[in-house]
Amino acid sequence: MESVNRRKFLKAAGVALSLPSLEAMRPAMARHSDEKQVPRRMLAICNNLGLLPGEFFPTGSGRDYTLSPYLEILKQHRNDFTVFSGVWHPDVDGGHPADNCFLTAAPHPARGGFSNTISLDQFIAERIGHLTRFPSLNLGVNPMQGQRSLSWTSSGVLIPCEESASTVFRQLFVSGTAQEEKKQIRRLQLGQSILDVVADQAKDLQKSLGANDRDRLDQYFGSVRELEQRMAASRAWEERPRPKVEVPEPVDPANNRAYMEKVRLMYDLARLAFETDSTRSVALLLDSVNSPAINIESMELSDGYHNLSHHGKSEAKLAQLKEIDRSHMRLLDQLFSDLRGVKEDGVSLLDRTMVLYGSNLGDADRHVTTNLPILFAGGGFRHGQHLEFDRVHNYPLPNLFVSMLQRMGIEVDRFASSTGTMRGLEMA
Amino acid sequence: MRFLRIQFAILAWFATSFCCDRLLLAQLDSKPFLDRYCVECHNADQQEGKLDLKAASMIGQTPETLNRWASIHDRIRQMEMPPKDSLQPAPDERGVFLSELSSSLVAVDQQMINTTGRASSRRMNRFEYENTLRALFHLPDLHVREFLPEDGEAFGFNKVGSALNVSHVQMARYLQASDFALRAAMAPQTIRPDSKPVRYFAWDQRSLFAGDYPKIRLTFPIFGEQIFEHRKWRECTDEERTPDSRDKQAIAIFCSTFEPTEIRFSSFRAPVAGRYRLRFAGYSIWASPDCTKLFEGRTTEPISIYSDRAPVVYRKLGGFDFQPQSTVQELEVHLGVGETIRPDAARLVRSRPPDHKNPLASDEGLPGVAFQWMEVEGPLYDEWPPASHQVLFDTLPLVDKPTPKPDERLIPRGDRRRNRIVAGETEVISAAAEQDAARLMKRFMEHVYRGPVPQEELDRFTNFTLKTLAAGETFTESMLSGYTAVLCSPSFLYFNGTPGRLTDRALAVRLSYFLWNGPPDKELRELADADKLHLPEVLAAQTNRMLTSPRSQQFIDSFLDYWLELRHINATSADVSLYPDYDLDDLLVESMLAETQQYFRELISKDLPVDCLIDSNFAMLNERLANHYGIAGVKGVAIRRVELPEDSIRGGLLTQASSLKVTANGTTTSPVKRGVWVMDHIMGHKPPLPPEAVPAVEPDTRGATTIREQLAKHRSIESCNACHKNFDPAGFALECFDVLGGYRTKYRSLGAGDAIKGIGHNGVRYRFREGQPVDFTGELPDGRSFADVRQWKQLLKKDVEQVAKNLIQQLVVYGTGAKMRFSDSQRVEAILDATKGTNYGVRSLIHAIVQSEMFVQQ
Repeated sequence: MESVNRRKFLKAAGVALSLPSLEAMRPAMARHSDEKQVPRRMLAICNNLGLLPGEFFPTGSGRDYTLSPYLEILKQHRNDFTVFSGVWHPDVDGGHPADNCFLTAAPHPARGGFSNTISLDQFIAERIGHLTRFPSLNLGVNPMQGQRSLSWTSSGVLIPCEESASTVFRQLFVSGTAQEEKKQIRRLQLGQSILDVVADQAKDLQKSLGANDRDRLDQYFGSVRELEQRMAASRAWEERPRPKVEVPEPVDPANNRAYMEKVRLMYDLARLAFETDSTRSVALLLDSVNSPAINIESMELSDGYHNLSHHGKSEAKLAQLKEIDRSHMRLLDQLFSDLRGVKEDGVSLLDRTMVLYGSNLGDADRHVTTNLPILFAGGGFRHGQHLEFDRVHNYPLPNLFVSMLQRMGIEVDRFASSTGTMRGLEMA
Repeated sequence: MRFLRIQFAILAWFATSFCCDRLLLAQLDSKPFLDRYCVECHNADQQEGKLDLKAASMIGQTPETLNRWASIHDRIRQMEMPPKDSLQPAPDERGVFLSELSSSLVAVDQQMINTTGRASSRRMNRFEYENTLRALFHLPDLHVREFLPEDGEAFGFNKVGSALNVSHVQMARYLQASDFALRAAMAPQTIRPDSKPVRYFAWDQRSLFAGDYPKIRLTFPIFGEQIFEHRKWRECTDEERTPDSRDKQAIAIFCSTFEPTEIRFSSFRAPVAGRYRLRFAGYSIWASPDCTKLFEGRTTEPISIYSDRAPVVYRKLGGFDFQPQSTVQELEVHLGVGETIRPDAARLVRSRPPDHKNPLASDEGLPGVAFQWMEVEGPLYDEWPPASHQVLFDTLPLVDKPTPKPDERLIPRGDRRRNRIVAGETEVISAAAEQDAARLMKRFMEHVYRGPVPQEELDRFTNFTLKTLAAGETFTESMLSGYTAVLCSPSFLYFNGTPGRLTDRALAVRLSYFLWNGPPDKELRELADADKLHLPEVLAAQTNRMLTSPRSQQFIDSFLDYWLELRHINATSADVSLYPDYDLDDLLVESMLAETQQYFRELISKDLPVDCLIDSNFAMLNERLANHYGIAGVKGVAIRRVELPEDSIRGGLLTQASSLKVTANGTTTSPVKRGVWVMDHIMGHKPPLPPEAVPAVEPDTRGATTIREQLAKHRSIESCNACHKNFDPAGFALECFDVLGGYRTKYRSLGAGDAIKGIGHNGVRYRFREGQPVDFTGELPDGRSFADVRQWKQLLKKDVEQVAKNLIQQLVVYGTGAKMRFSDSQRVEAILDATKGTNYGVRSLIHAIVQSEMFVQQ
């Protein structure tokens, strides 16, 4: 297969990316009658092995809480984030596969007959994706491809993670040659006409099927139409120039052990994508479960990341896990600082970017999916607090998703198993 | 007009010859049983368990209503209802009620099946899609599965319509996958590639020289009986370097292939995708402790052969044993373009920095292997242009397209200069494009569509192709677009059908996707076209033929992947500290998977009794597994049937390493997890889900308490024990097996316990200790007790009918893509009756399923 072709289809599928800088986009967006608000963005990060709970959760609640050892690393941003305890996705059990539900909150991922539901990033993309070149970006570090993703369609289908930072960078900022682009446009036209043919057949078939079978074919038909629309949108973007950035293309580490370096690259990329308003919705899965013994500056690790997480209270393993977790916190600290440093309309990018950082596991050693570690920064909320909920009867995390959607200007009052908006979290 | 009145009045309906059947009325108040024992709690006011027997929703011929009544039936039959402290019906009364309810439900269920079909329409799953393209294009090694998103799963399998969704992403992926497959099917060049054997000498392979590492991770050049220090190899004399001396040259290695000692025959890379014959010359050796003197090997050494594609994609191609004397071993394999060959002396140490001890070394020396050369013959074609190409373009003339620049990322580092990839592209030339397009499209569609192709469908795709041609695309690209459309069309991707008995063509498809997990072949299609396939003797003969064919491996592998969850075999790996002896042992994990696959094949081909799932007097083993199980006298990598000693704890599926591995997490075992697995997958009693937000009881590796003690606390709570008593015993019996299925009498611990001396396969000194003894005794819920896993298996075997019943149900869900229905139970009983004489032979069960109403109906 030609790489061009593959990339275009990926892109058409809304997986990949592309466009003009914020300022250049402004007049274009003003033309959209539905876009009167300031741009709001989301970066959702799930580390599927979580963080050591004892080191992460702070003591005391409200605004006067005491920073935990991990949060101490983020102390310069204390007023830019809220930390939660005692929250979970109701009925999302089953240990590791729960990462697939981190942004969907679909219950019982390990149960037979389980079907996932739409993820938060895709929910956003469906509603405001037309405002940017890329409706959403789905990124991953060491993802177990085909098995794990934060991003799911409404029919419960996995959207694969893009794991090469350089590929994403090129799609965002580097245009192809005129000839190549013409070829891409022709490819897309051809793709659209292939879809027309198969859609016609589906329509004819529907006449001869029973109700149940018609449902299955309706789904097919809907998918074909959706892909066609995305191809049409891609063609429109193809004629506009990509934004320019002053940074060099990232170099992808060849080895999965360079996990932390990959995380850093993805954080940079997400910031660049927001800075150029190339997308408003980014999901990033840190597939620690699928990672080997990773490189940490300060020590050499004895085991793979996943094996370490089953520390069985071994002191040696716990010490290594702490070092890994601290590296995570340092990278997060850098990300917050970087977002704070970029100004848009005189406002810092952090104030317009919601950063959700957390895990599907409350305690990876025991595969517990309750008491999830959740950190929520930026995006225009009144932060600087510890929202503490019942450790035994947890509070539903999907309520946070509803608050986030509302902050993005999307009119919804529920998402998955939510019961309202996040109690105690107020918009700034 | 026919009036049918079901004896039991809850569900009654009438049927007419001209009107669809529907449910008429419910006369609950007339049913004294319900009034007497049930309605007091399950009424509109109380609704115990959210059930109101008098609600309107209890009437109606819908799947939901049927399910509700079916579960009422089951609860009453299992004596769970009415509750123990309520008024109890007499046994007779219960029996009469149940049989009336049951026959009503069966009748309603059958009615529903008649209108909507047992199975709904569904798309192919990614395995079926790949197997289908492989068969249609005669490309047995085509990899397109990875393009497609993971399939959903329902009722344990990836075969059920309700879980096989399609999204815009899936659609985009179909476009990619079919485009990729079509281009892979085309001839890569106009002339047949040269396939003369080429020999690649070990001394010429840069990547066979690993230096600058501690001794056991080095490679050593050998000349005759001389062994050189790697760095001093330059000192070899001219005589040693001449081509005439080739026979004496070899490269010795004392570790298995593992970073950074990644040895490859890298001056070969498959120039095109295709079939190749590989020959390897080499032998096992023994060296003095300092690796300066060479002796004849003391054992055979297993060699695994992998293909290697950048970045780090390894695929096992096969394996063989090197003997103490030089031999030539041959494998016939399929390679992807650009793949190189990576041999691995799998038994040898695989160390991770900073540990470099060799568990196989002693004062006398250490074992190793010597590679002399690899010979490659291929790509091998039966015809030219290749059969795959002819499916698309028949024998129209071809011209070469300019060869695209190879993708540097696909070439292993250090090998870029030697790049001899020729995989190019060709262009098909047509003098009469419109006629050729119509002719080729008809040929193609009749080949890939599973049924007859109506004229309007031919026209649809032919016209599209012609339109593309008219828009300025080349003939080749226009045809490929048309073919892509066919391969992405619903008629190709979906299995549709009308309710009722399957047509012969539909039966051929169902049978083929059952026993081959792929499309019907010519013979099946011809029998279907002649309307003969449904004849019981023809169906039986075809079933036999298909089960004997090598293609049935696709059924066995994919059925076991889901039924036993073997697809998760690599989900966790052995903990480095607790199990250094298992760490990085690929041969062990590969062998355990092969054991179970070949064991199931043996049950089918010999029609062995279904109780072999529980216990057997033989096992399918190779040397690695035999060592793992402590069974002497098995040599070499080939899996073969081995009779087990009388008192062996092995035999059966449950004590195979694969089952034991997928039910453990690499660090610890949990009787709960294993017990639930046995009850659910083998005995067919799916336990209820644990209560919400109760954390699992997880073992402690400090050696202070055992999992038994932790569980005992849990089980002392009556509400926990109500379920745990059913599945924990199976897990207790299996506690004598560690995370990879090795036998144990004591738990390993990282805290308390006795130190054990040794060095792991990973070159690390043992740091674990042997702690608390394992208690593997237990008691079944009915009070029968067992002292160990052998006795437990004997108890389990007494319930052989249930084992057979469960296997039937699993096979039916897999084979029909539909869940088990209430009305199926009588058909399952019929299969049990029919196969009892063979002690429920596994092949007999498959035969009976294929002939059953469940299978031959939509």
